[in-house]
Amino acid sequence: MNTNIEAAADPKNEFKYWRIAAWCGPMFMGCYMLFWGTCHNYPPMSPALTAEQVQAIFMQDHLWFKFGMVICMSFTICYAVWSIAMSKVMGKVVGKDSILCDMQVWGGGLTAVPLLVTSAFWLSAGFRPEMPATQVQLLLDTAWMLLDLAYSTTTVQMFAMGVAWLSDKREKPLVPAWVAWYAIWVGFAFVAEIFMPFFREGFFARQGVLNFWIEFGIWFAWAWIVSYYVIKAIPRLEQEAVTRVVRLKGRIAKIDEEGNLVASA
Amino acid sequence: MPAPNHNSTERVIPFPAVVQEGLTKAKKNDMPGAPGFFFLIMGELVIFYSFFLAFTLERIKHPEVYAAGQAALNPYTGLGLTLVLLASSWFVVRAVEATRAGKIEQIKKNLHVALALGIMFAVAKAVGFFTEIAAGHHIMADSFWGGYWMTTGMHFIHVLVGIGVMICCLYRLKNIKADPTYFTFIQTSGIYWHMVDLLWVVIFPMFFLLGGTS
Repeated sequence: MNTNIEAAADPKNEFKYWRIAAWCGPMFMGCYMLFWGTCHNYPPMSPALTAEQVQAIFMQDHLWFKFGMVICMSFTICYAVWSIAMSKVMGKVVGKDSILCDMQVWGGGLTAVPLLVTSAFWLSAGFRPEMPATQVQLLLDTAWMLLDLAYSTTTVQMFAMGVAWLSDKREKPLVPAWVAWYAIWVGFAFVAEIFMPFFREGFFARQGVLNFWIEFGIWFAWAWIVSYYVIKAIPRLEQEAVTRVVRLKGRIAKIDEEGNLVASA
Repeated sequence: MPAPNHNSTERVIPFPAVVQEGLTKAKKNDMPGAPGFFFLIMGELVIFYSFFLAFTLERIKHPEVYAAGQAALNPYTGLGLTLVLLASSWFVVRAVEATRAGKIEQIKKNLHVALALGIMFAVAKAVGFFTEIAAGHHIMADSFWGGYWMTTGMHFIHVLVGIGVMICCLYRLKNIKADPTYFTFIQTSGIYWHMVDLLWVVIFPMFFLLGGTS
């Protein structure tokens, strides 16, 4: 009987699937960096290209577009699962009922939507590249508008986690303060995306240094850095939970010895 | 607890122990403001300096376009905006100092002036934006106006955030006697506001002055 009770009350049970969920982040990023990049996205096709030039690229590499985007669409859900893992860890800092945890889940979940939909647009253009050239161009442009201008969903997620990590009262916080500020900064820096539709060439266009290399670079770096600290936080949280239960059991045992409370065993 | 300052016109109300603890802790930090906050400042500066670099490189390629664009900007308006923003920052510094000294009325007064100047800058800039659009100098007019709108537009967004942060400082002031983190909060806000005017101090000569007579 005792064994059953202890198995049910094993404090590590709570964290059983957290590691898998947290590792979904690196899995998503690795997959996206590889397969999304194969589809002429490093850097993106310039908006200054003519419809015929865009169509020619899709005609030539339609197999890559199909293959890459199918893989990307299959792994996009990993982003949402990873966001849930981060929300769980945040819950151990701010309390699981905190609105910040909900913002993390919703922000991460809603970020997965444009990732999924834009991949579907690229896939559609690669599926039937012989359609009128302007339609191929329209699919490409719409995908980029959606991907870049849906930044605010990710910003919500980043702000929520930044604020949560900053309120960690542990002597050594689960996630360092600089990572929290980095998350807030990246969320804030995404605002520059609002200017993207006004440029077809140069530094501020979708393939430019700011919009692509800086904004996507800091986002990719954010995902790897946060994943590292979240994965590292899980064993610490397990240890904290075990320590709490041992203390609790110790107190009950002491009461037993004094005869005030008799254990069922 | 600090001794009351009899030389000052304002009666110093010693902060309760909880606030003093926060102040002492903040003073022990190696860097002013919230721990790690300079990471955000560094990131923001990197983004803006990349704008400045891009603008300068484009300017080298198209000097005539940039000279024409610059001629349409009034340097005295730019100077006025600079002075307003710098003055606002100075009042934020005074508010931080007043917090350190425990002068609550002074904090309030200085924050109100800093906020009013910040709003004045934002309104003047917004009017400037409308005037520029009316004159046909919109974001897609040419590479000068593209860079101008991008840089000053992003700066404008930062000013609006700064105004919001100052309003938060005023709001949290109501509860200062029970708030051990107030000093760190206002100091961090001050650092952010300084970053905003530091950026403008580069933006002003870059768009309004540099090579304007060529």
